[in-house]
Amino acid sequence: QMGLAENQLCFNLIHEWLLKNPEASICTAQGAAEFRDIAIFQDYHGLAEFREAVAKFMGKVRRNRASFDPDRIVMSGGATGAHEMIAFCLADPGDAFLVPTPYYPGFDRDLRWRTGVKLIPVVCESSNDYQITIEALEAAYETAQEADIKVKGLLITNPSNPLGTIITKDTLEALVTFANHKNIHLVCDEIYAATVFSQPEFTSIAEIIEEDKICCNRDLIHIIYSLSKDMGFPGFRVGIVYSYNDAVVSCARKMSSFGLVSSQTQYLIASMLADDEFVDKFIVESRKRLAMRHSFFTQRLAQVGINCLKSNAGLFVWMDLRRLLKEQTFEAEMVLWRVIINEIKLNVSPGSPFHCSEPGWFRVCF
Amino acid sequence: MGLEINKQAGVELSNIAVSDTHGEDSPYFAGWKAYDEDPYHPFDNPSGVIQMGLAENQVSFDLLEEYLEQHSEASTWGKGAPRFRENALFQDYHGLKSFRQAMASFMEQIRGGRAKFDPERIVLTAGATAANELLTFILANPGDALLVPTPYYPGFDRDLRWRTGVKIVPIHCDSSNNFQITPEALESAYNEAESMNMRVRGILITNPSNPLGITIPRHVLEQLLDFVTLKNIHLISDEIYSGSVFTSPDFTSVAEILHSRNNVAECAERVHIVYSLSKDLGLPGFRVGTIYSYNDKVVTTARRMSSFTLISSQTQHLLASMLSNQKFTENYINTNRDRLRRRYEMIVEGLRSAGIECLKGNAGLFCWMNLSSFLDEPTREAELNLWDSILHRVKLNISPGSSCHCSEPGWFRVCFANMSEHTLRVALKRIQKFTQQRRRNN
Repeated sequence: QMGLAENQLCFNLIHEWLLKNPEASICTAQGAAEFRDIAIFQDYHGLAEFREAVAKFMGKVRRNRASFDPDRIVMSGGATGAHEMIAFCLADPGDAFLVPTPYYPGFDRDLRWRTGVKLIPVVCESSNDYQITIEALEAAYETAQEADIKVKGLLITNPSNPLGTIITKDTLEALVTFANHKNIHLVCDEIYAATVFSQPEFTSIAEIIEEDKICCNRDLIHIIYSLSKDMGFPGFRVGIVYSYNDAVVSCARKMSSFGLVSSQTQYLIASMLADDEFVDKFIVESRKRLAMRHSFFTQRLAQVGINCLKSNAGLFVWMDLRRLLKEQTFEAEMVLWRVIINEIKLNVSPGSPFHCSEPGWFRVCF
Repeated sequence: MGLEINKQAGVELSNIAVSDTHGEDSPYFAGWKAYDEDPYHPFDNPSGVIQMGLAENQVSFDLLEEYLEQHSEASTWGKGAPRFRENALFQDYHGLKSFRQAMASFMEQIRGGRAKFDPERIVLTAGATAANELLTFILANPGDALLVPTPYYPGFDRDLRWRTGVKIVPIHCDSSNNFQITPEALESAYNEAESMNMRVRGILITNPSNPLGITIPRHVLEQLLDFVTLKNIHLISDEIYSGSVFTSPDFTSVAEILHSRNNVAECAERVHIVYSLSKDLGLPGFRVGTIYSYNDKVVTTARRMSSFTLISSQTQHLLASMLSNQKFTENYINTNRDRLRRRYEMIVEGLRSAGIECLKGNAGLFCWMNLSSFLDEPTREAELNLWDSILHRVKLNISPGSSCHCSEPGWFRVCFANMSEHTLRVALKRIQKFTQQRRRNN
């Protein structure tokens, strides 16, 4: 299975911490005194300790170049729930979000299914390493205008899934300027923030809006986060909406009733992420192990003549198999994909579900 | 520090975001606020507001704590790292099989084995809040209507309507027949919806009822099934209080009567049950809800949609263990019932000696109290005035019937299981003093 973007590299560190901290579980002898209070706690604000610990963790992951206010943290049912929730808050049925391609296939469901919102691709290509250009943004925006569709926002994933690359500071500044100019929201999915394992450094949108030279209406800026990738806890369903817009925080908080994080889990996470020594060690070690995996994998692929997009983040690489296609079409991509699944017995993800404009690219998780 | 540009007209949010369909402006929630600002505590704040507006079950925690003490393997992940890893990675929207099996078996036990539940039909959601919204998304389109008997749980206004765009049309029930749902009331609600050009998609009942605290009689359930079959609509039965039936008549679940009907196939595909552990087990924080549907397509779709609201695998793991221990669950169900009955008897007697009668209840975590004789006039305004003085002068947060859409003013829901016996006695003393004073003043 190389189609599942999961992070399994640091479980031993977590396990070690759990054994040393039995009071973090409300079900052990050491933690049982808290059981009752935690079990009845269903306040949609979430446990204060949980929000504080998550805010601190988010800051550390960004090397403390940005700080996060615990009162702006809203819970949701994983990032899946967070994306749907932000779409419900920002857009009406029929409205659209612009999304750079290639993008995570789940967005088609998360942002559109029950909300009735549309996604309009901002086409990015391998010719410039898939960087988001102003031309591509303007073209997508125009497409919407011509079809009489109201654009409510721009959704970026940084670091990118499936590319594994970070968005440069210059580009982020341009995106903020674009959003302000069109008066549309900027939703930044930073779910892979702690998986940046080598240069260039990751810049969060939280840092950009603090810059003196940037004119920004903060009411437009929203961050989506989760512990599913950075910590490797997808089962715990810890999704976060962090908005700089008070009205959105208030509305999202009410909506979070439909997907609150289990108080048992909030309690455990609060404990774990408040442990500075553990967190610092975890972040460093996780990066190291991801770097080693990535390097091992890409070097061996290169040895057999397979190139990947140069990347420094994420749990996957964006593999270039264009020269193996019979012809440069998506049908040929599917044929190749079936060969890889059926004969080589590897599940990799073909580029077309990611809305990639060029056939022949595959996302491979490591 | 970034420069803030002059905010223009302000960036727009969605219609859903700016609407007030979240329902939080109702007195139901305002009372909670008053409690939060001045919460009663026996030593630290003995004159604070006592919370009687929160339907929580705190009478049986010791049983849960005892279980955990004796079964530490349930809650931890054992000595092997792989078990934690497996659990932390598990995000399959089918849910842990062992947990679904445990839920099915628990639901069967609650119904005394009179119904069987197939674990493959159990869809997990983060709480009944999510379950009810999810079913609404699946069964109805924006603008369609669900019929709901009044009085009903105030949260439905948000859960069924807010993001779905679906409307609620009330099935009016009143005290003349102890608030039972009648065929006439059903027909009348259906016609009302039609006259407003709304397509009726289903009926949602809560059985046992919140706020009434009574179980729906079998013959009424049969009538409901007849009605929904005739009109070709759905029936959602929210059975969240099914484990809190503490005295006769016995609880009859829609699941029990389904199989005794001669048109079972035609009937079953329109029946869906909602359940949760928030009331019976007193674990609202853990966000454990389920949808049990007899309709395959609904099960499949609900399962996909549950991606937005899965239950933490950590919690599934803990509860799978607990709920599959039949000795524990048997003892819990029986003990819980006994304790709820004793609480109920205590509050009813206490209210009676204050000159207050309640609807004869047999289930739930609350009673439905009749204060109509204390109203200045039989109006909603008078009810809210009374509510306000009870909140601010008697310092009790109780829920006014109007927030539950009750058509008769003067009824109030009073919770009795979310506090210690001592606190309940303090609350009853305050009520007795209040009614004494009212009588003297009159």
